[in-house]
Amino acid sequence: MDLRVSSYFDRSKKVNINVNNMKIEAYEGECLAVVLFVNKIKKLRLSPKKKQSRGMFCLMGSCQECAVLIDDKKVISCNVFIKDGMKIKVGDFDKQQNKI
Amino acid sequence: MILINNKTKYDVIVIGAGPSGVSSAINCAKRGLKVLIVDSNHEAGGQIYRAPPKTYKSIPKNKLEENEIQKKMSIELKNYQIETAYNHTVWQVSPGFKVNAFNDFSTIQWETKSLIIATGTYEKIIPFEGWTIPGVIGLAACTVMLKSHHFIPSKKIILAGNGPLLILVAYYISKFGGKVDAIVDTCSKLDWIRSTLSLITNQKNFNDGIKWIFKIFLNRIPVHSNCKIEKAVEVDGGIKVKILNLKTGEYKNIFSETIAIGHGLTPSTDITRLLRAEHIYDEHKGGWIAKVDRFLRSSVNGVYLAGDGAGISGALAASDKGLLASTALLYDKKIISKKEFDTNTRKIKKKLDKYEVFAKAISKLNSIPKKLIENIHEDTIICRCEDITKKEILSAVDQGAKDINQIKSWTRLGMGPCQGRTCQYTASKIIAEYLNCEIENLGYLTGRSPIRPVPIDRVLGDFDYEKITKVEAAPL
Amino acid sequence: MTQTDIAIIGGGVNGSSTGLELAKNGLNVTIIDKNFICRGASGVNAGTLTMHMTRAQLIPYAKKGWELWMNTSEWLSKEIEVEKKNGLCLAFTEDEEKLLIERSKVRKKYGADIKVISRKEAQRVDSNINPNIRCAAFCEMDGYVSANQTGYAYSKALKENKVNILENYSVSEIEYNNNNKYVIVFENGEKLIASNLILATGVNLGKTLKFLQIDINIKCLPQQLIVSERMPKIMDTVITVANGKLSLKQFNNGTVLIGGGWPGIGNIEDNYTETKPENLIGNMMLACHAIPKLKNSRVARVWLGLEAETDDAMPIIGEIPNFKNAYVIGSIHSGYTSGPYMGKLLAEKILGKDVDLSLFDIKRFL
Repeated sequence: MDLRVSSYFDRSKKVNINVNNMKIEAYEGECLAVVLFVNKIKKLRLSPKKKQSRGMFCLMGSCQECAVLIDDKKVISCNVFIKDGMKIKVGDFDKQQNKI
Repeated sequence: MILINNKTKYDVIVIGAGPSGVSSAINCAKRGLKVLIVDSNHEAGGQIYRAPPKTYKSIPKNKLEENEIQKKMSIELKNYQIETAYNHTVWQVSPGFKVNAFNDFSTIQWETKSLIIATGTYEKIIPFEGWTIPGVIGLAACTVMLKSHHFIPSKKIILAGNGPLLILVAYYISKFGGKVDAIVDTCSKLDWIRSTLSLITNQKNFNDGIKWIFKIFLNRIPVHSNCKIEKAVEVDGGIKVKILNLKTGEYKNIFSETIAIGHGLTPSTDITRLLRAEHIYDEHKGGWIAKVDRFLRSSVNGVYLAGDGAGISGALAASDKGLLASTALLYDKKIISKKEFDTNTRKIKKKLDKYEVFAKAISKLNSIPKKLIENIHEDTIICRCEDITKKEILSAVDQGAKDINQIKSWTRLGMGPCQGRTCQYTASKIIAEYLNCEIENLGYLTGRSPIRPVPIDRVLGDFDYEKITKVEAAPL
Repeated sequence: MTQTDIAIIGGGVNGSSTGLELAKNGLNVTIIDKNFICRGASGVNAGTLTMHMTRAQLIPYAKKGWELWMNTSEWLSKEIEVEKKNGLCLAFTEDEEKLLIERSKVRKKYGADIKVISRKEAQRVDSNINPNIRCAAFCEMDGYVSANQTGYAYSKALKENKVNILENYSVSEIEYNNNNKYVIVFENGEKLIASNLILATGVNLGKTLKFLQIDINIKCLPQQLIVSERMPKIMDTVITVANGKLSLKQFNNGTVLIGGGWPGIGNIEDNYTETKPENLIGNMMLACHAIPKLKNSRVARVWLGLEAETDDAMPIIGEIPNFKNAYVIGSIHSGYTSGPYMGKLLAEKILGKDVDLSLFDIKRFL
């Protein structure tokens, strides 16, 4: 079942994004945090001390929990809008960036 | 050095383009003031009328009322030639005033002598064991997902907490084809019935509420009144939730894909705390709020509070509060006479008094029963950013930490990226309950810049080592 | 009215270290602070423990202080985060290279084991530094302490040693009574009688000394500090630069602290502080130039500390002339490193040991 509500708005064109080398379909301009959530990619990063999975929480740019890596930079995904070919990394940031 | 200094001297800068920010901006522009309005979203509307993403195209025969209101706000700002800085996140406001913000590319600084702060609210969420599991989201987050992004979070969902968002979200999830497995409400059904007399004073919202409740009946959504979520665990296919009846002490297990939880709203005080304005604690207004006079002037000269930031009164009152604050500003700047000031503010206050009845009833529905705090298990994470548990907070109290800033200093609570926005309310409640003292005695977290994390690359751009501002070298 | 052997006004690292040492030697000590202890400069410091940024003449003291910090589990606390790290001071231009060689030479003369090394050698010490350096100064005796933990650590240690701590007590007057005792009058009306008095009020020392009719200029330097969000490991040393205007370190929790004395706005009259964005940006640029990977992070917090400095940027420690049993300790420029040792020295002097504090004599300003 597509979790998109299409009664009031038409989306723009369909595009593909890359999440941890997995291809995900979405529509251009949709909110990244929401797209990840509805595609069941809910575990976005690990908490600092206990290393527990964390994900989107407030969707308002306040809690900072929905951070992902784009171009090796930490950004909050609720403030990012889908563009064709976007490459996103989720998971244990420490492991992923540990090439010193 | 990337610090774009916009040399325009604005008469007023309005921070936040929700209904109160927009109405105050327009009121000022009408009188010839040079106005700038700043918002981190890509459009005006705030959270309540949050515009859908730019790429969404409205279907003409199925217009959404909120969307029409939002579009109107945007058009009016243009009509009055109010400068807009959308997609700008404010990270510092310094006295005098200088407003610093960053966008996708750089940082920018604006100057003004008058500020209207219309930054709205955050959602209060009282933690329970397992609330950090991905898949547990805010009730307000769910609302934004439904009404701005036009997604339902999952096929099935449990809604928990209290207040009007419970029934609003239940309505829209059901309407959009999802299934609400249960509503877990800390209030009793009697609490809702008792509030009817007050809620009915706001005809439109009341009618909406009836419509929402009707759908809940129609869809036979199980409502667990007087209940709270005690624990959530991840299981195959979703989240299993143990709920506790606060009156009978009975437990029940329910299961769903997503949990949306919220316990009302609390005003955003990032900027007022940063400016060292005076704050007072008012539970009914949402917690700590900037102290304002009858015309929404803060204790800092030149700073006015509009909308829910001056105390939760709801969306309808927001516009009028924006009018009130901006009228005070216009009078202070000697743009309008005392007579006009008196007449206009009298009219506005009359309207606002009516909204107060409604607002008080809502705040009652959003009240936090003592048991909700007492019952939080000591291993529950309170500060999500830094993984600080209830046990660690109380241990610091046992070691002698006497106020919330000392707790922060000793435990790191509030030192993470959210700066305590998510946890300060609960942490204060926990400590006050433990020490059996008033929350006021604990103070509030000192405001610190940046009020949102600033991506370092925005601040730097490409730079030349030689051009880094030369500062006097340290003594030998 | 309560009595005490030693009253220490000011519970930062200086006052608390002095008090701790005196208490361990059996004296009855009361520490007074207008806030909670170690919440002033001591609690918001960058916590750098280095020879590179220490004033040349203070090197011998900084060395002793460094050793004390490395052994905090013995005299202070097991729970405070203190790390020994290699310290690299970088030079990017020819002028900076000259400055670096000169500064290192002077510090070496005073006993710091600093050597100037090549770019290649520096990269071997820490591969994360910007490869465009000309050379670097290297010192093994470097590292950091997590300053915001000092309050908790000192609180515990002081209490364990039976020191009375009067927090949130503001002094309104100091009198010297007929019995050769100091009567400290607080704003709340309470009084404390002390046989000995130590003034350790940091950046407020100018105000406090006026209680004894002593007028000395203590400059207030509002220093900005920046901390990033937690990051994967991007550096392994404590980094400074030749002109002394950068300190950079990564804590165990992954956050990176950027300091170096870039001024913000602040004063002691109302304890007000405010960030200066231009200096924030300059400081960050310097930090990112030193460790390029820092660009990927976000600034989590900025705050200011008010640093005290005398007119000649050297400390004032020792007896206060014309006042029996009254002492002062403060304005130890870049003094986090030497603080605990200076406190110990003053305590030893008060206990009657033969300690030479002539370098820090307050008389030079009177």
